[in-house]
Amino acid sequence: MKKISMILLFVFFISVLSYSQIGVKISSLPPDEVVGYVKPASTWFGTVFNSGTYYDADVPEIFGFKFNVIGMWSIVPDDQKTFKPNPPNNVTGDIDQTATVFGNQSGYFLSNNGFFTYPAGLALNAVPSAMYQVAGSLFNTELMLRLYPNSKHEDVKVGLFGFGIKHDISSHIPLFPVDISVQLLYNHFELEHDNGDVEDFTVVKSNNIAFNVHASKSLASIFIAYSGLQYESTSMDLEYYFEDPNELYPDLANKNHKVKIDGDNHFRFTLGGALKLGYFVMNADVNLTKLTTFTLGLSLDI
Amino acid sequence: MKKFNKIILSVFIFITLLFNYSCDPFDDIFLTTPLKLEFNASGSSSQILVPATVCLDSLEDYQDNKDNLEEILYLSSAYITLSATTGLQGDNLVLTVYKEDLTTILFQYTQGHFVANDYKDHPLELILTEQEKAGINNYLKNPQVSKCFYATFELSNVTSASQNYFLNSRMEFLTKLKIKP
Repeated sequence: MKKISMILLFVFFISVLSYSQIGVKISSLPPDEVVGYVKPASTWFGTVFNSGTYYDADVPEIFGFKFNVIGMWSIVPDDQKTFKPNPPNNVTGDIDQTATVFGNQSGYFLSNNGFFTYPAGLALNAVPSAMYQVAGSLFNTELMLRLYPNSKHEDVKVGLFGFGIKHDISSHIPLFPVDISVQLLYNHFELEHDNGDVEDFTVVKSNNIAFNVHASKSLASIFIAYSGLQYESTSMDLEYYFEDPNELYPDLANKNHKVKIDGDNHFRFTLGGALKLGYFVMNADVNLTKLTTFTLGLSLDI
Repeated sequence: MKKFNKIILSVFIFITLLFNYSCDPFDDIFLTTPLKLEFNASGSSSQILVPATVCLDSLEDYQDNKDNLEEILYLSSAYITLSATTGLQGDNLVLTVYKEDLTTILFQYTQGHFVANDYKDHPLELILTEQEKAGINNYLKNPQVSKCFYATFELSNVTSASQNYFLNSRMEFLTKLKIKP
C-alpha cells in the first residue's frame, strides 16, 4: 500500500511542487496580469491530461483490460515563457515582456511607490509529468478511467478524475486495412494550497475535454504504428490572494480573486509506435501541439 | 528484418527529437529585486544630512538563493518622497552612495533646487553614467559575499511651511540576480 502511495505521489509531484511555489509568487499580480502569467500552465494541464490516451485503435469485441503508466515530457517553447504585461498608465518606463509561470526573466517598472517587480517563473525548458489509467472494453468500445481521490499532502490537497470513451469504428467495416477509432476524453484536476497564510492561498481547477480520431496498424502482431488528430479545450479556474505590495490597485487589494484562464491548446497531431510483448506493451509517441509532448507508456494489456 | 528496421528507425527518430528539443529542463532564473535605503529627517535646522544603510543580506531573494547566485547586476534607481511637511524645500540636494568602507563613492546625484513633495507619488529616476553603473557592478562581483551600501541625503537652505519639519523618503536600487538552477 505504501508503494502504491509513493507512485501516486510521484504522479502529482510536479504539479504540487510547482503550484506551491506559484501560490506564493502570484500574490503580487492583479487578476488581469495573473491570466497572462498562468495561461501557459493552463495549456500545459490540457496538454498533459489529453496525452497518452491510446496506442492502438483496435478495441476487442470480447472483454479487454489495460493498466497504463505514462511518463510525459512537455517542451516549453519560447512564446510560452513570456507575456506582455499591462501595468497602470502612470508608471515610468516601458515594459515589453515579463516571465510567465514557465519563464525566467522578471520584468519591472517604476510605479508611484517605487519599483514594481514581476515574479520570475519556474525557469523550465521542459516539464516532466506522469499519469496512470485503467481501461476495460467490450463490444469494440473501451472505457478508460483516471482517478486520484481528493487527498491532502501537508499543505496541498489534490484530486483527479478523468474518463475516456472510445469506439472502434473500423469494426463495422469488414476487411478495412487499418483500425480506426474515435475517442472522447474528460479530465478534471483540482489542487488547493493552504498553509494557513492567507497570502499563499491558491486553488486550481483544471477542466479538459478532447475528441480524437486515431488509426493504427499492427505489424507482425508485435509492433503497432499509430497516429491521430485531436481537438481539445482546456480551462482553468484559479482562486488566489492578491496582496498589492506597491499599493497600485487599492480596490482589488488584500482579497481573494477568482479568474478563468483558457488554455492555448486546441489541436494536436500524434504519431507513435508500440511494442507488444505478450501481455506487456511499451509505447512512445510525439504530440505536436502548443507544448510538443513526448510520451512513454508501459502497459499491461489483457 | 524490414519490420525490425522500421521499429529501430522509429525509436531513433523519437529519441533524436527528444534530445533536439530540450534535454535540460531548467534555465537560469533572473530575479529583479530592489534594495531600499530609507532617509528620515526632522527638526528645524537649515541643513539636512541623514545617512542610511542597506545590505544584500536584508533581501529575502538574496538570502533564499545565496548559494546559487552567479551574478548581481545594477538595473536602475529612483528617489521617492514618502511623506514631508508642506512646502519643504531646499537647495543643493546631494544623494551619495558609498561602498561599505564609507569612503569610496559609487555614485552621486545632485540637483540645484529640491521640493520634497514634487517626488511624492512621482518618483525621480536617477540616471547613472555607464562608468557609475560599471563601478556598482564591479562592487557586486563575488555575489556570495554580502555587500552593504551606505548612502547620505544632504540638503541646504531648508525651509518649510512650519518651523519644524519632517521628511520620510527612500532611494531604491533595482538589481538583477542571476540564479543557477
